[in-house]
Amino acid sequence: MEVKSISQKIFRTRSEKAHDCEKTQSNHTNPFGVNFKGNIIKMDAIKNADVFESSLKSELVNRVSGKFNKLKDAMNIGSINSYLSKRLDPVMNLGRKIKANAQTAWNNLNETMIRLGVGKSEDNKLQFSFAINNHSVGNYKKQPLGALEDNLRNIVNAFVAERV
Amino acid sequence: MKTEKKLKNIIQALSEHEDNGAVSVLEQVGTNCPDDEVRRLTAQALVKRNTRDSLAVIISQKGKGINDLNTSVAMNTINELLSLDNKEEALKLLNEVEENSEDETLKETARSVKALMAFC
Repeated sequence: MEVKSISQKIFRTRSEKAHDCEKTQSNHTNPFGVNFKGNIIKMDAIKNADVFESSLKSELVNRVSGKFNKLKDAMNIGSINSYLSKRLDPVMNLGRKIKANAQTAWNNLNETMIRLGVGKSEDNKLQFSFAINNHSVGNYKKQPLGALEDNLRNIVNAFVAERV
Repeated sequence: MKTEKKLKNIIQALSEHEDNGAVSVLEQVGTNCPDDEVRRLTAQALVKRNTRDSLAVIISQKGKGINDLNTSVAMNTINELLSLDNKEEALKLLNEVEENSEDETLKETARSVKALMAFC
């Protein structure tokens, strides 16, 4: 080894020392000079902030999107339900009305039969049929003219009295 | 059953009755009634019966049918005449009234209805 080179290594100039310092400083971001067991920590031991942020962000985004998707599904189901119910409700109501009408008609029919009183089944049938067809055109046509004239007078009087 | 429905049914029955006496029943009870609606229904029924006797009541008698004092009753009867399928009997009667009647009002009304029938 030459003397010159050795001396150069031992007796470095200030500028050279400063340059070396900059190099070492550029290798780490440790402004406070944190050291571990006497050694200056050269590289940041802390995880990269950008990496951390991005991973946190993605996790957050996943959580939020997951909840949002659930919310969206719930909204879809709700809207489908409301749409279906709007379509189905009128049908259901009609069905209920028909059922109610049929029930009331049946009840009225049963009541009418009871009101006609007790007697022989044949008589009851005759009475029942007479009660239903008493004022129909067909029934009137079978009546003699005398009875028809009286009926007409009575009905006309009742009609005129109602209109007054 | 409502009275109006009963009234319509009995008048219709008389209009379709086999016995020709039904015309006099309708004329006596219906066409002489003070109520406009009853007279209107009766006149309609007499037109629908479409016999000489029934049409004579509403064409040639003063204050009845086409000569009714109530305009709506008269117009209704004329409408019913115009909607008849077979107008033969009605036209015959209208001609007779126009030629032979002593009442000028009856003649004029019959002439007007005849003219209307010609258009239909």
